[in-house]
Amino acid sequence: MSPVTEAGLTALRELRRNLRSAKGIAMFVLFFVGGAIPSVGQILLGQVVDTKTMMAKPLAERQDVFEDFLLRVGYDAVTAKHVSKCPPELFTYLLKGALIFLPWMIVLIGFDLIAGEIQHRSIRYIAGRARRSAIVAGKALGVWGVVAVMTLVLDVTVCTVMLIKSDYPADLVLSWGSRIWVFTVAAGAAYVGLVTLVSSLFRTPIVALFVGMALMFAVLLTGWIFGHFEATETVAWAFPSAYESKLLVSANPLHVLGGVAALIGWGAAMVAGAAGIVSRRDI
Amino acid sequence: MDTEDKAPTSSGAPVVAAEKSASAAPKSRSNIRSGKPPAIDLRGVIKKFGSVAAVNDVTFEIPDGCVFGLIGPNGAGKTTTFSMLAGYLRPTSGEIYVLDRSPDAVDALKGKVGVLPQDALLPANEPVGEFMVYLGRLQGMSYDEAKKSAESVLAEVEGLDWWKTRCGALSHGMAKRVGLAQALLGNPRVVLLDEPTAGLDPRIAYGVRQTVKSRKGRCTLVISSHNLQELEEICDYAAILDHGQLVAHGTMAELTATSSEIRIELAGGPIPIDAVRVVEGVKAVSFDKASRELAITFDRNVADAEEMIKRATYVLYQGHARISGISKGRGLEQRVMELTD
Repeated sequence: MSPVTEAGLTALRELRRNLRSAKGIAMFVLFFVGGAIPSVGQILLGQVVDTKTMMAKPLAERQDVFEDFLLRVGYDAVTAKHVSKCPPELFTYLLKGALIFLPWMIVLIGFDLIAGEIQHRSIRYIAGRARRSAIVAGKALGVWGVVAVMTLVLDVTVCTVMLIKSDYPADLVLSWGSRIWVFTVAAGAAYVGLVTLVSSLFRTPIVALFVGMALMFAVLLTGWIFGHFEATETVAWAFPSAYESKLLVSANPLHVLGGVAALIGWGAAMVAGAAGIVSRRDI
Repeated sequence: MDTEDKAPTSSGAPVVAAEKSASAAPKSRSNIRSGKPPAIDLRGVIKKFGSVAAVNDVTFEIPDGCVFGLIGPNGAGKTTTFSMLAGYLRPTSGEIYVLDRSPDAVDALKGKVGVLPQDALLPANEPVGEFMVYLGRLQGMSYDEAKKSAESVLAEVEGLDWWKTRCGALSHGMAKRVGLAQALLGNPRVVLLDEPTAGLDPRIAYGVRQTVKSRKGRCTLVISSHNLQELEEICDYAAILDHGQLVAHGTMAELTATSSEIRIELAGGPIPIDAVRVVEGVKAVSFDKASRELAITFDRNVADAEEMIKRATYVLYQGHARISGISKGRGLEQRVMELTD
């Protein structure tokens, strides 16, 4: 049996386990409610509050206002022009909001991914039947799948409300909605990789949780700081948080593809590290 | 009383501590007795945790198709040795071969080795059947094959009713039987069982023993256990470990000396030791006053145990001794007591 099949079987099992475990359901509800309430609320309330101001303006004018805002927060002119076509609710909540909260959600979902199996020795039931590297890859893929499902449900819900309740053209909502989903899933790959690596280092899940939280904070903060200074901008490429503003929302499709590939590659490198550790360690 | 520490292997006596260094020397990977490659082969295996050697220079073979017991007190290195055989731990040095492969050659050994690990929790949220099917599929079976095989082994441990039960809802005994069932999934050639009856009530332990016995002859079974009575009953071969070192290994008959020693318990009355000493084939005779037990070691090439019982009892009756019990060998428990601290 190929390692890909082993990883695939393990990923499907992990997906099933997460989506029906109490922790998985709680995380799903938390993420959905946390993402849907503000974004749907903004869409609905915005119509009431801003009817006479923003919403009364033609779409092109509202996009100009949004473009100005994007320029003020640091996007270059080309990117700001490009992103201004995206409904602000989708950009703010589904992309920006998800990129802030998703890493923490992933830590909570995946901290015991490997550590929990090693602590309870459950991994021994599968270690004789599948390569350890395939087990690690499969588990990481499973959590990534959970992230993909969670973000998909959220994005579809918000986009559906937007299609019904807002005056944004369907093609803009659907194209940006699907792109944002791909971006968050790609970013999720990087953070799932990081959490998998941390989980593979410890036998005690609670230690993996705290170290994972601390490391995630350090990675996000360091990436953000480095990305804000010209002198350290190059170093920021080592951190996945830098890829969103520089690549994912770029007007250049090649940059977008590069950003998606870089995030997935970053996650894959972390998972490879975790696989190497688990393959060598005593279980 | 002598403890047979220098018994020669050529006569079928177990390999014991005094010969360990010789047995550690490299040799061809085929069983001395049968000429067949052993199912499992350990050569000079050392496992250290920090500076502590949990297993120290252990060398022995497990013949193909036998039931093999891994024996020793707590801290002897049984579970560490077992975990290395299963590929969970890597030896610090030395070589281990399971079916001619390194234990971590997962792809080559897939479906050929089944393991019941000690104290490994089953996944609490997963239904038993689903978990078993997943394991079967990892072994390379199709979904239908995995389901059929899982049903078959669960039926063998009387656990088919638990198919939809979450593993976390199983009692200790039920979980142990599910653990045993997963080890038997797909009829592996080698089955490693770590403490298969530990913590089970006598009825369930009996059931587990029957399941293991039913596999005898169909695969190589390696059982690590504290239950010496159980091992003596089930195993053909055994290795005794103490403080991480191999102190004896061989067939169960050799270890318990059932083919070269008889024990006769005497009630009060005369003890004609000298008369027994001159019986043809007798090599040594000793009498333990506390237990009033006469231990007779004999040359198995001159007479078998039954013949020696006949000759010795004849001489004892002639000398008016009052016999209250006769047994062959020392029993595994006594042998282990002699060899371990």
